[in-house]
Amino acid sequence: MAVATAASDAARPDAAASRRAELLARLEEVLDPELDRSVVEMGFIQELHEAGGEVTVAFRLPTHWCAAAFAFLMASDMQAALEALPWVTRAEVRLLDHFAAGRINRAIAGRGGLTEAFPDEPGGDLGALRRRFAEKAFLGRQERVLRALIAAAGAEAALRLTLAELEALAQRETPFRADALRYVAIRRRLGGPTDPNAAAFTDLDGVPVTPDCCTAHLRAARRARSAAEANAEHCRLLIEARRIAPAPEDRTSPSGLYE
Amino acid sequence: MYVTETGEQVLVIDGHVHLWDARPANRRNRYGFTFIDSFWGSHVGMTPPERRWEFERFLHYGVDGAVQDLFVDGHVDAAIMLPTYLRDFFVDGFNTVEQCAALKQALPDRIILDGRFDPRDGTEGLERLEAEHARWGFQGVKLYTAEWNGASRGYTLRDDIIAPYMELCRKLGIRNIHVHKGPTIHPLNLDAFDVRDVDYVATAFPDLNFVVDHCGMPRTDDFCWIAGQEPNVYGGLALIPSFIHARPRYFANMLADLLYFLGPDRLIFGSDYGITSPGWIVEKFMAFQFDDETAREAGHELTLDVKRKILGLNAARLYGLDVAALLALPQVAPADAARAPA
Repeated sequence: MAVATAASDAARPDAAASRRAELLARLEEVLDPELDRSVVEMGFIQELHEAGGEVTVAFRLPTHWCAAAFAFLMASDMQAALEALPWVTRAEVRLLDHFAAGRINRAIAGRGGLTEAFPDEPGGDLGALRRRFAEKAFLGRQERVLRALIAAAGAEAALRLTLAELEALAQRETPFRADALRYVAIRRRLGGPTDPNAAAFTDLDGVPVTPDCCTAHLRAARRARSAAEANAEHCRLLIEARRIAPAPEDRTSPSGLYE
Repeated sequence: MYVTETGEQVLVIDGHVHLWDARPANRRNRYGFTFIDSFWGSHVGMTPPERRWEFERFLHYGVDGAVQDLFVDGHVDAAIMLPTYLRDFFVDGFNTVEQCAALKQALPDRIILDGRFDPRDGTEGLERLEAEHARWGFQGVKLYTAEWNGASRGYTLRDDIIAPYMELCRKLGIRNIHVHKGPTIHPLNLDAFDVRDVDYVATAFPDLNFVVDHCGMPRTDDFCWIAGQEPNVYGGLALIPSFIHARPRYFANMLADLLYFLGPDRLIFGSDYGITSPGWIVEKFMAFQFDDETAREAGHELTLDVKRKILGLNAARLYGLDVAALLALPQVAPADAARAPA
């Protein structure tokens, strides 16, 4: 990733580095909704420039044909995450090498929605799409930590944990600490009540997982995790392929209708 | 045919094969390039380095290349060809019935040529399917719900336009409906690559078989759920076995889920040729075993019996193929390819 800062920062490299770290920390929080992985971790970010509070980000997905709705969501989330920093006056987000890049970039620059990007098509309900994948992410994150806890302490003990107890556990150095922190973060948004005595492990309706239903519940959750993980690995393979053996670029064919 | 170390013969039917033309002269616009570029990424990412092709060959490998890769080097006894038109991207289409027919002509006993239709083509499409069926005698068709067609960016199997085509398939004896539910083309409208519409049509037409190609990847979780409830829904594995070299653990996890929800009788092997080739996949799959935990999750060990079903017997049953006759066919020599029409 190319990360540039303004020339005036040459005299104050620490300030520039600290601003860059802040920007990256914000981008780390932006997830690919299908993969439940950060856009930074996935290697999507190609450029990050900052000068006088104006930020430019360029990102590239593994193929030209990655889902436009998700590409739009990521672009819009990046813009919002960066502009939430008090010293950022404007964030320009550019999607590269994508069949709908022009449309998405123009809509994001104009603070428009998916309808502005594709006025001639039914875009579907982005909110519903986001919720559906957040629910898959909830199950996937829960499965990882719950399976580890069951292996360590047994199902009865793991399922008795309250949210406060799991949060305390997530602060300790354990092999599943990162997974526990990720689950707690999404559990605060989904899965029912979040008072300290609420069950840590619930289904999406907020019903606590019990030892009786645990096997079936874990099986369903594992399915969601397995699909997202394989998808993420496919993305990583495609990104790596582009690095080691890119196809020779085609500069002769006429443009398509979205460009 | 794959022969084990102990001399056991294993029938191999590649359930997902293409013969495409992505050369520059056939590209209608830049989308033609970006489309084959996405395929190329999977080829490079998943193929063992020593088995990778040159990009030029990837654009067009022709009948000779396919005969060599599938039937000389690939252990394949028979292959099911699934056409993909994409005329909005490619002048003469990407991988049409006509293009695929060249391979059928070269090896008629070993190629199952499937048809295709686009339900948005209305009465004209029905007539074309009937005429093409009269010529080729299809037992299966391939649908591409995410395909662009004029202003449309896809359709779903819930749409009313589907039923007349299903009725016609029923009448013509086309029993196997392959539906592409996988990555690469993503229309804006999520419904067109959502797998849940398969549930609807499979219930409405219980006498037809629905093979969901790529098992809905990246929606394998939704696919497992639907297929678990619908006995006439099959998992077309293509793309999933291709993980076996670069990401064996994820291959194992996906196969375990599929075995648990569908069992070993409803999974159809496919190499997705030419994205990846069957030779190395079949060899690695025959050597592959689940660890204990994965076998527990799957509810099945990967026994020789299970591998036989996935690699060939399930597809033979769907297409009414005579297993003994296929295994007894004379071996294909590279020279057969040379005799084939170009």
